Amino acid sequence: MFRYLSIFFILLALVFWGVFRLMNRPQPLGLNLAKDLEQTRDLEQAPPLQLRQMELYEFQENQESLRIFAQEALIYEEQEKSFLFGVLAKIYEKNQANPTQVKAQKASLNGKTDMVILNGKVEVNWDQESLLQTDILFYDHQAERLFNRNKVWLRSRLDEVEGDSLSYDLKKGLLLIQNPILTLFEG
Amino acid sequence: MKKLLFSLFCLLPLSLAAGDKARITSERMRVDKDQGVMILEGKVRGLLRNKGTKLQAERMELRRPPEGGKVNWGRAEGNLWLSEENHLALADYAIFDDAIATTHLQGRVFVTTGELFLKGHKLDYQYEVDKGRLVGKKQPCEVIYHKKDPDSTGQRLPVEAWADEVLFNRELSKVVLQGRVKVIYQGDRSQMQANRVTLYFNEQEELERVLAEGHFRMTQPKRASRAARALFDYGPQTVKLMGKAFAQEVGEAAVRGEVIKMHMNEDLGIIESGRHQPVRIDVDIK
Repeated sequence: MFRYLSIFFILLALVFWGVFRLMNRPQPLGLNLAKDLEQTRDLEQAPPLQLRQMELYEFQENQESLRIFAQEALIYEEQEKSFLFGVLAKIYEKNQANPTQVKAQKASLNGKTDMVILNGKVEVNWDQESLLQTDILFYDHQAERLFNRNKVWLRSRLDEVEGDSLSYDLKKGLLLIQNPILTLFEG
Repeated sequence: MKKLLFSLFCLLPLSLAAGDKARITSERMRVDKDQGVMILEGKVRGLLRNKGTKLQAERMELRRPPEGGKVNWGRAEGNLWLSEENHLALADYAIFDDAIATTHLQGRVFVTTGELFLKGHKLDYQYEVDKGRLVGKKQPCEVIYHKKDPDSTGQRLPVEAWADEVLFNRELSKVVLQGRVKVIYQGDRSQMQANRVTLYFNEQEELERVLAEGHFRMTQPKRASRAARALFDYGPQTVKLMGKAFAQEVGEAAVRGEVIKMHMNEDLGIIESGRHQPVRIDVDIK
């Protein structure tokens, strides 16, 4: 599950870098999204690129490998920051019957720090077999680490874990959960 | 005995029955996804919902097959404590291995139910064939069984036993003590020694018979006896000595023969000294 989550975040970072370069004409939609954002002084000064019902696709070997949908998107090219709202991403793998699905109410990307933050009812569903739920999830692309300080809930066919926080080293494949409550199911 | 042994050796929080769940908490959990390993550390507390089995340890490691599936190997260590109703097991650590269908407890092993108490260094139980083995390290294993006293209603008195090795067979409802076996029964203040002692239990989990083999010797306050083998029958309360048998009661003549049958109660004396076999009686003439 986490291997595919890491692929998703890497591709997400690449997609947004592509968006910065491709879109050069701002299209204000008249939507007041500022209330939902954690904005810095820099963001207020530069008008963002605003997109609605955004869909991005990635193809590999003529087959769809990634799809990202966002109901709203704000892109601050100069500050290298992006904000998505109502995010749904699907990652297609050859050996999987069902795509890995990532949902969040909000996603923010910082190109300078290589950090991605998902927050608001975050869900990662891998091949409809494993599910991760939490309120906020951080991805540090430089350290290749997923982490948070919030309640997490992971469930698979064979077990379920609730914990106070999560840290996942994508390179080593090591997951650490604080104060876990592990439930093992028979079968 | 079946229920006793079943309860003792099924204190396995990892062997989940159909529809059962195990709930385990700790201070932290590490998962190595590639290796299929889960490690729980710090005040590990487990509970098997259906059995009500509880577990405490400092560290627990669980493994699954690489291709996925149920937990097939587990290790719990650090002041390990397992309990279920009035059954309790303690050890330094325990290992559950489904590949060889064995549970292993080691280090200051202590297991008890209401009537049976075991103490040793290593305990192995093969749960598919329902057989177990307890061994000591520098000291012999200790077994204490609280036996119903035939002379008083309801009271149970301890039978204490020591041996190099104790074997359990749940299917046959028997326990075998091997190697320098010593047994003390507080009921009649008797002491017994032999190379091997087999305890047979009935359906009601009461001690039914005891067979002592190899250099059997017994002392009671008023009686001494020895033989190659001895059979204790707790129904009629008799002891049958077989093979170069010898018995002597205080103030009475010594009896020797191939077979000697006597009451367990030394006050009730010797019943018979074998059929169609010569018997020798030594009498002190004063």
